Amino acid sequence: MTSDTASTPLFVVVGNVNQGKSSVVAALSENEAIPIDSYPGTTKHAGTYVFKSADRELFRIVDTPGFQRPRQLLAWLQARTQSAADRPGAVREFVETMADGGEFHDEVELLKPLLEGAGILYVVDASSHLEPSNEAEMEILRWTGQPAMALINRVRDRDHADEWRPTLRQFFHIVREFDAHRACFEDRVALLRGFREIRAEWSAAIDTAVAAMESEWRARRKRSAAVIADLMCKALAHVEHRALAEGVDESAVSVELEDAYKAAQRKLEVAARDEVERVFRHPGLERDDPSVELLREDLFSETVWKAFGLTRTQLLKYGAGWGAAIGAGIDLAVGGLSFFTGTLIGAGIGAAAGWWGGQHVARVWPSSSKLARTLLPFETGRFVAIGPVTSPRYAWVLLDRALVHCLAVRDRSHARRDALELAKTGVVADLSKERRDALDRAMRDVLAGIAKGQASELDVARLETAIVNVLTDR
Amino acid sequence: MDLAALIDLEWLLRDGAADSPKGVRDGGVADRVARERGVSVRELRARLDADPALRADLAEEWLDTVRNGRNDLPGERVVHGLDVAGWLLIGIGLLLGGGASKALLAYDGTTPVNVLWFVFVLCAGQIALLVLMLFFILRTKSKRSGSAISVLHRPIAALASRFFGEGWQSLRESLRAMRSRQALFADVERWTLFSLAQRFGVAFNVGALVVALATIAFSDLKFSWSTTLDVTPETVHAGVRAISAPWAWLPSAIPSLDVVDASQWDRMAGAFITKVEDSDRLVKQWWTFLIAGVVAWGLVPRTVALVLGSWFARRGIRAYGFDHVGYQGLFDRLLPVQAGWSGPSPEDVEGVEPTKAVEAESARAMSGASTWVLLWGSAARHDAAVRDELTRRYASDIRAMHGVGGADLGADERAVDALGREAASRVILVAAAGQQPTREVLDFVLAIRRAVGAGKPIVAVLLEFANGAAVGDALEEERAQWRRSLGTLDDPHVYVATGAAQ
Repeated sequence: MTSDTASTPLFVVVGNVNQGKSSVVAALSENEAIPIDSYPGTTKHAGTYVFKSADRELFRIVDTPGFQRPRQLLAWLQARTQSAADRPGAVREFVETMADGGEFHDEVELLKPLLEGAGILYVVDASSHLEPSNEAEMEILRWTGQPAMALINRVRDRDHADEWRPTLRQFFHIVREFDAHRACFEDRVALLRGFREIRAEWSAAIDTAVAAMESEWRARRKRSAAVIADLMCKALAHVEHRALAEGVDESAVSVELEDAYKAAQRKLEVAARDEVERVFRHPGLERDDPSVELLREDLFSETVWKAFGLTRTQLLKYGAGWGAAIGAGIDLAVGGLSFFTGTLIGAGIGAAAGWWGGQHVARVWPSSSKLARTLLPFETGRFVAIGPVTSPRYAWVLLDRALVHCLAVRDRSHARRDALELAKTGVVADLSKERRDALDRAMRDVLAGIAKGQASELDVARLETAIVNVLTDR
Repeated sequence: MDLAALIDLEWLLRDGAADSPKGVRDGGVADRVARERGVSVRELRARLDADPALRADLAEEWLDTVRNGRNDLPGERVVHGLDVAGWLLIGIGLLLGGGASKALLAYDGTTPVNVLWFVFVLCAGQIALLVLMLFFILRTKSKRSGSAISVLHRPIAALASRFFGEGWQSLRESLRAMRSRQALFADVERWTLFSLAQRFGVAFNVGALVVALATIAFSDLKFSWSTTLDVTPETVHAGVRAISAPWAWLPSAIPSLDVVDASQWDRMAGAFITKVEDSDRLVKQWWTFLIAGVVAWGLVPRTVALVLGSWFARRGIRAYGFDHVGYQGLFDRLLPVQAGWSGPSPEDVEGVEPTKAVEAESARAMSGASTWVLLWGSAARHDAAVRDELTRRYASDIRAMHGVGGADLGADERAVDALGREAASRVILVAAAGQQPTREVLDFVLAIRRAVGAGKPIVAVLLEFANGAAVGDALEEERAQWRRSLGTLDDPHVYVATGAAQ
């Protein structure tokens, strides 16, 4: 070990096999690739995971294979010890003697980093009973003379934590609970802060690491909000169109056009989800599982439209504003010649659509429409177009699904290897009025900009801010 | 940063194309920019949000790296296309301006040139266009101005679809995909097209001037004014003075009232209305006014507009924020995140998974058989409960029970010796749910096998205990785990008991 790394806090995660050591490390290090399985010996070699802020190494965590023969190891040590002062030396002698591996390969792998002055994180599974082999492990760890913390993890639903605590307290002055499979960012930071108690001289480095993690977390929140805002802008603005040959009626292509429009919306949603998962370091997240039915459920299914979005009363209120925004766009497109009837009629239609619902997402426009010409400046000849989104209900459903997915991904522990789970209902209906109004205003401004040709940068930024606020609150 | 670079960046960062191409090392880009600025990469990251110039530098440096060896990026082509369009517009402008001038100054020696036509086309017309241009400039300042470029996009689209056919379709789709970000670089686009249009304006006026000067220099022109309307020479003179306002400091280029009066032409009579002395000389004085009019109302404003338009376009590029979601993704890759983890690859730490093909069998403990029971670890604390449970479940004839897997390793040896001595015909190893089939457990099973001999059943029973009683079985998942581990012993008579409910 170099002198530079000697000052870097080093924590070694140890315990019996299958206690969730790798899960704890995976959760802390946000690493989905760490092998986690139920068979003993999944981790065969110690792996060091380094936390850096920019160029600076702040601390390291070593994941180790579990104890396989702790009672025999303790017996080996006891046979070579006369007094308590000999104990650390006996552990060192054991590692050196058994360096070639053999039957104590795993024990050597886990004890070696402890000899480098590491702090110990002893992980136990509270769904198991306290066994004599566990007591042997604790005794061995005490013999190393290193500062230690016990972490009570839960691999399964049983709970024998009360059986563990009295014994753990005899061996460790810090005993904490950490459910690796349910740990969210706040839990990880809280545990990291607890590391300060293991060795006082590491406090400054841990504080720096916590500050860096929090800063990085804020950046992720901002980035995920930008992704969702981008999704909303693209989805709201999307226009699908088909050229019409001479003599072909609009109705001949309308079904295919609507299908293509919905497919494009789904594609945008999937792309945004992928990006949010990358932001939160879940690149290989499995979504094709019945537990994510609501996300898997088609964007345009009635089930989704009922589970996500606003309540009917909320839609009545916001629908009027949306109709007015779209109507104003039409007014502008016809050069104000409609004397703002578009705005008024739009408000009425929007409110009605909000109350009675329906899954009409966007209007179909003929190429003779000024709005269609404005939105498709590249297009020549006869065509029929669908879009942009005119349904406030759909926009809120899309936003709600994006928020629910983002929150589920954000709060998902990297120790999990199962499919993504998420809330069965949306979040926007339960937002505070202030937050919901801000989202609605921002989306309407974006839509109004789209109807006039393009959304302004300022409106997109406002939408992003409104989304950041929602993600911060929850 | 230039227009070609901006177009290439938007193209590369369009939907689904945010990753660096193969062979481009993102870290190297950040290192180079940090070196040029004399700061660390860490400081770059800290400054990123507040420093658009840094974002531009990073994006440009990345683009330079990506461009190396690639010729499939559209930026240079678009800029080249704009250049070609610019030269075409200049050529057309020169021809149209020269042609207009030639037509307006046509004189066959019978009817003098009517200056009112010249003024109407080359001065008043250009004044009207200037007003429209000012309106365009002011309109672009308003927040919600619509895109004027659609006027150009449509004919471009028509031409492109005619000449490029299907290839244009994919380009058009991509352009439409990028449209959602159009607001961010609308200024660049608008002023680029604006300055392109001004090239035509400048060329038109240069063509008109050159042809006018040549016609004046190399032919003998006579000027007049003629109208059906009841307009007096005083009124025409007032108009002339108004048009001459920009060059009021140059009286020789402003026709006097005498000149105007002398120049009124009667078409029916085929002669000037007012005959004054030296009228031939007077009517020739108009040419300086006409040339000054084209320069003041055509050439100068268009040249200024061309310079300003180019400057605004460059300013638009300089002011571009480089901060939409595509750039954020790029910068996240180029610069190390503020905090992050690194670690070994999974294959460096992972052990070999026991193959499922050699799992130990699931089996019920044989009812009524003589059984030797070994209680592993914490299960030894529940010997009475285990006896009750095994008797209840299997009606086992329990011949002996030994506690093993405890703190005393000697107890394990004594129990194994006892099994051998008593020629145990069937062994049940009871462990508490949650106990792992560690190597010491497997070693112990091997020791049992050695003691009792081959072919004798050894059955692992996993029980859950609470309040001193066996309350159920371990989960199927845990039993499967034991089956997999015991399977590695390759002993066909080692079993894991199924649960009571099975």
